[in-house]
Amino acid sequence: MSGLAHYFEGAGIATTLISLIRDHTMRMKSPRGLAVPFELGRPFGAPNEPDFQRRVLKSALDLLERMDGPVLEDFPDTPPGPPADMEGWSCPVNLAPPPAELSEGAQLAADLKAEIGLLSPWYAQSVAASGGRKLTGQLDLAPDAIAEFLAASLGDPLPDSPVADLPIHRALKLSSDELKFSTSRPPWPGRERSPMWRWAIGSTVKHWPVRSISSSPPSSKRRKSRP
Amino acid sequence: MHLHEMPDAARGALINQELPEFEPTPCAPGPALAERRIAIITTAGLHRSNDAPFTPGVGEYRIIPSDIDMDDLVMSHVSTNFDRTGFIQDLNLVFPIERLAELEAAGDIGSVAKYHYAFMGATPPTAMAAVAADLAANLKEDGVDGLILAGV
Repeated sequence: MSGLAHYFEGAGIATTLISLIRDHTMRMKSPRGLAVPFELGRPFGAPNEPDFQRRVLKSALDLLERMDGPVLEDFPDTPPGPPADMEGWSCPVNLAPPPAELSEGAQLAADLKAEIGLLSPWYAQSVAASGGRKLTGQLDLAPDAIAEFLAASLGDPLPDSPVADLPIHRALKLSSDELKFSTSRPPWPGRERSPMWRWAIGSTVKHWPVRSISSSPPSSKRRKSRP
Repeated sequence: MHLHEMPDAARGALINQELPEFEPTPCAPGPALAERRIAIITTAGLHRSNDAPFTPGVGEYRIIPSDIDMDDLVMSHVSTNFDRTGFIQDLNLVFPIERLAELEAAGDIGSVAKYHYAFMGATPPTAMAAVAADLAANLKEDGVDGLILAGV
């Protein structure tokens, strides 16, 4: 990000940036920056907090008039609302005892699918409340299909990536994010949702064997080259 | 995740990673903020759901016109350092397009640019140098004289 600031500024367009890693911005001598004490991934503080977001944005834009760069100012406030990720996991459902003797992996896969199924009303509620916003992101699969993929990831060999051109390791990260979100209750008005790791989802991620995963997508799923 | 919540080794590796060296770039002049036309540059790897996903490390960008359905934007930047649950709830957390429009309506900025642009994070800056020069010409044609840059 700081490199882009130098390139644009050098081309004659004034820049200001939000800095989540103050040391990097300082070392790279960005022309103008606002260092913010927020979580990584959250440059404007907190979701659904328009007043706070606007204040962060305005504070950064105010620096555009400064000509004494490199400028690095500190935004003083932490975002409102609860922490984005609460400690620990939650166990929101009682899972039925196994119908038969299953291997650990097979049991976990069954628990995962059961958990996603039991929590599916939260996802339906989120879709209804989203006003059309896309909730499944780049993966673009329904939660039960994501659960199938995650369950298959406990096996060896790993399944194919469910999306063409999306490497398997990225598909695994995206799928765990999607499930973490989609199994959480929609927030009460004016409050942030606090997604938590559900038991079976978290356990699945924790049980992924350490494997060497190629970053190349399976050749059978690769799209034709674009011109 | 906050930097201070990361394990020491991971935090140290992130903060102390090797970075390219830049000399200070002279600040470009411009009018008062209330007269500036502002565009957003994000490195969150945002793109329309039907756009081709980013190829990590290449330095390419995606165009985000101001008048598209912003609900269609997806984020293909993936990192173990953050999750996307905040972005899923509110696009403005990483791409403050509605906040920018509010500042325009309040007279705090002059106007909102017609086009905004997204890069992929964790890309070596030098890989973005050539396209940034090309992009600067596009921005000037749009009348942009102020950029807000935000990564994740």
